[in-house]
Amino acid sequence: MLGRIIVLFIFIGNLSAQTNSLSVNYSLKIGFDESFSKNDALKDYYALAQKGAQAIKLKLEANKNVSYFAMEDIIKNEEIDFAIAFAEASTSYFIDVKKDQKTKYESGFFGEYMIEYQETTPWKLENETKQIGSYLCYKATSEQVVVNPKKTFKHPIVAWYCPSIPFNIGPKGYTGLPGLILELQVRNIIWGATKIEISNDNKIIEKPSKGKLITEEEFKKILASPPIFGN
Amino acid sequence: MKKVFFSAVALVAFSFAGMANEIEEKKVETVETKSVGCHTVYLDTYQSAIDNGANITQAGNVAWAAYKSCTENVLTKA
Repeated sequence: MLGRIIVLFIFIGNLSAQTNSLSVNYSLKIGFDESFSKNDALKDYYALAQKGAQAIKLKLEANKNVSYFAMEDIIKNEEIDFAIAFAEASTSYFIDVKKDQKTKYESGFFGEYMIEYQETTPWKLENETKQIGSYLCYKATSEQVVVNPKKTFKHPIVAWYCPSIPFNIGPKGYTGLPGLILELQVRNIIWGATKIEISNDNKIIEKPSKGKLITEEEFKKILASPPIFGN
Repeated sequence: MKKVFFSAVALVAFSFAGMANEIEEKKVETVETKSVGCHTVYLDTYQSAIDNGANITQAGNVAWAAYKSCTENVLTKA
């Protein structure tokens, strides 16, 4: 029995030693949404977004200390504009695990801003498993709580994380699971891993310095003020 | 005779000038109407997104995309 435990520890030690950095490509899928797809003012835009999502690619880069998740550059059109808007794909996330710092970068009609935040997700670990590529993934669930001027909404979150990839991060700044999130669904929007590169190298990931640093409250005030229309 | 002739020429010239001004005014009016239309599209889209559970960032981005689409369509059709 003791022998088995020692072998297990040696195996885990070796795996950790071989995975110093990570690069994951994610695709985006916008699924049918009961509210958005049936609303008169939104259904056409949402249908355009569903088409545009197919062209959007996102990337997660990480080493043992920090991670950065962002959309890759793309030539925009009307469909892609709506996909970016519904999926909030223009928001990028930098997380420093060692310093316990989380920064998100918002860019849009309102300008470009850098916001430091401390949001964590209360995950519920489920027994369900799913094979994604060659990785055995486990299901975790949570809720996205949206407090807007109308009322408080709760949207389901489903994450499929993979304990054999020892990085407790995922797309859209989600963290806190015992393994990399290979698939994430928030409401009806899905981020799915398409390519994973694990390396022993210590990849250097610099914290981006773009946009004005403001607080979450200041950002909400900016969004609450009506935009200035050009014509 | 000359007076009558020049009066007739002046009358015709001023009539054309008056019509030109009228056409110009109508053009301005059309553009303003379309611009107000896109503003309404922004506000309606924002409110609908909020009513259907979007957060304020998402609602703002969707409304802005709708406004951009509206203005681009107006420019294409103009």
